[in-house]
Amino acid sequence: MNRKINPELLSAYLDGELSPEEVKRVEEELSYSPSLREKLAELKKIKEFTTTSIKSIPEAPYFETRLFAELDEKPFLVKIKKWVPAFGFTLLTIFIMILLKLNPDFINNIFEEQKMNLAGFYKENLKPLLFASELTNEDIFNFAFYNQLPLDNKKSQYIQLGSDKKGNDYFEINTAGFSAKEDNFKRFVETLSLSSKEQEQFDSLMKSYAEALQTQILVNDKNTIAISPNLWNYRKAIVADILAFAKQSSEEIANAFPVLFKVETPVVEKVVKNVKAKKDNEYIFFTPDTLFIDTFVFNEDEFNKEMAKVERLIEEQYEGIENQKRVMREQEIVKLKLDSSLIKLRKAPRVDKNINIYVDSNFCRVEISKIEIPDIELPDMDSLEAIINEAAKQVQAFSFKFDLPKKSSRINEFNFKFETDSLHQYNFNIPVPPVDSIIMERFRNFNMGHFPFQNDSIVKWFNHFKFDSTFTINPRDFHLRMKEFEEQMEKFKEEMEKLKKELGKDSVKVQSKKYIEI
Amino acid sequence: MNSKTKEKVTQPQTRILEINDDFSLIKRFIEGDESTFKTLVHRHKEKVRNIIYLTVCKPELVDDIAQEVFITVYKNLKHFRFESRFTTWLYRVTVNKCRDHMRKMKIRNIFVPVKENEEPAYNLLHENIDIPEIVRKSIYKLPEKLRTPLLLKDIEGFSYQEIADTIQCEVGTVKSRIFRAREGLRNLLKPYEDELKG
Repeated sequence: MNRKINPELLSAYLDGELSPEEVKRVEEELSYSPSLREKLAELKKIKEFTTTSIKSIPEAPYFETRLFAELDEKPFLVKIKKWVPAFGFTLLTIFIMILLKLNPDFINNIFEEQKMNLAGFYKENLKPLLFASELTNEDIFNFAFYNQLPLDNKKSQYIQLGSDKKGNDYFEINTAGFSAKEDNFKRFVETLSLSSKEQEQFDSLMKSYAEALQTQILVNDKNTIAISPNLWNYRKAIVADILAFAKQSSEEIANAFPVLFKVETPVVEKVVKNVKAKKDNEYIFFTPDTLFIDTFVFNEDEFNKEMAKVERLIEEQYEGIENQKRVMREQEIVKLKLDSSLIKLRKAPRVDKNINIYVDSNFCRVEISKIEIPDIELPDMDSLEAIINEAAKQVQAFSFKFDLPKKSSRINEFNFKFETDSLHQYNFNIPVPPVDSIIMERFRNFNMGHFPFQNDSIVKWFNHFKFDSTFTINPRDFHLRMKEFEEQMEKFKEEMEKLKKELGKDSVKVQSKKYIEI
Repeated sequence: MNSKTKEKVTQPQTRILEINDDFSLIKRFIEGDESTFKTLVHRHKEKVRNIIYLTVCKPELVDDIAQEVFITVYKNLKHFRFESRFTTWLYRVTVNKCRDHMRKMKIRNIFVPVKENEEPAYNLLHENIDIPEIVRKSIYKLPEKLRTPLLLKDIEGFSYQEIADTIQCEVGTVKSRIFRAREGLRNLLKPYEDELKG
């Protein structure tokens, strides 16, 4: 006989809860089946554990005394005790209803007061983040042309301005890894070939903007950043000023970029004057737990006096002045920490009136659809903007060519030529590490650990900003494209090997150049 | 044999009626002798407290819930119909009070922050493993509807019928739940197989 026994019967058999017929059946099956016996032994063990593991609760000597005292209590008092909470709650509700009837704005007033208190809290002790002496000409130049300003002197965080396809302006606070190229200002000045007097004038111009930018971004010890909407206008003013200066100082430049320099100097002067004259009395406050726009007047004169006093004190009392200043400035740096719970805003941005917030582990973007950028009389501002954009398009009309790497050199080098239709041609030698090992290693393993930012930005970066000018790409597509790219690189490598054999021992010469035109 | 009237109880064999058995005490209570309630309390309080402890698993709540049980019994004893044993009814009231409390605790816990430092289920790195403690914790991990019948059987020695009457379900359900509780416990104790064999 090999009938199956319901395991529940075994458990009941162990508890002595079976009828005599069932007991007989189970015992018969147990005699045939070792596995059944094993199962029974397991259940028995479990039962033993249960029986021996539960401690008994200690006796309560006063239990009966308490119980009978409660039973002896008068019923009336018991009823009162029972109904007091309900009565109390009802009275409170009625009181609140009467209060709201007589004073309908009561709750709104409380909220407004709390909002003001919170806003007041975050507005305390605001100081400029960007000290004029810390902002270099390079920083001002990059701000003008790349919309980036460093938020600390170690350049570990940046504020990036921009506007999307819909015309919404935004600013982002980014971690390092997205920085603008280095030495842009230096190369620009070299191109202009300024005299020493002109160089001084230019430095002075940049210095004046550095001082003006001081009051555009304020911070305090509560991890608050306050950004003036005028910052957008300042950028435009700096661009206009720099280009006007360039036109004045270098006819060669002016001739090289005729489209760009249709801007007349008086117009630029007007723009700059109006931007600088505008009072900074409204700021966007960016705090650890909230974002709001509010009025705030920063007393620059008082701040400058305070800074002068502190610097004098440091000069008088301490040695190693430069180090001390640096330490003091570093202490003013705001480390913006984003609440990790906001990461969910990556997929579903928080929309609050005219502000959209997108959060990633590397940066935070705030889109302001209806920012109140102060009105300035800029009759030609739009056309100036259009001219700059047109010039940018002109830049794309150049061709880039590169030669194959020289066989003799240990590290492969690409010879890079930058040619235009006019006078200039630049040659760069760029050392390039072995392509195949990088690509094969990196894309085979898809190891993102070497990049200065975290994995989620790589995979989901392009999906973040739905209405952005950056193109969107599905992560799966991205991966497939990477695979295709890897296969193409394999083919490219094979072709390179064939080519090397065909060319023989000769080094790479003109006839072996390959060009890629963009 | 006692000359007093015999009374059949639910069990097959007849018992000689003692003057102080539960039914007699209840009858005298109904007739006005409230002092008999003290005897009932004294007789059954430890069992009630043990059942509460096994069900709720919180020693600090045992006496409060037990008080509530006996107050309810006191208020409703006059309506006792003598159709089942007093203990069946008493334990049923006890289990229901425990469930009410656990429901209130569940609602209250919605508004209370979750405790971050829960004890780890398995402390394999601990050198001196306390097996009864492990078994106890595993038992309390079982859901209440499985744990209660298991403990009423293995600790209090209730029959399946008594358990079914107490928790108001069928005997088959009790059988199934006790088996599932033991299977659940077996799975929870699997990581400690070696230690438990010793």
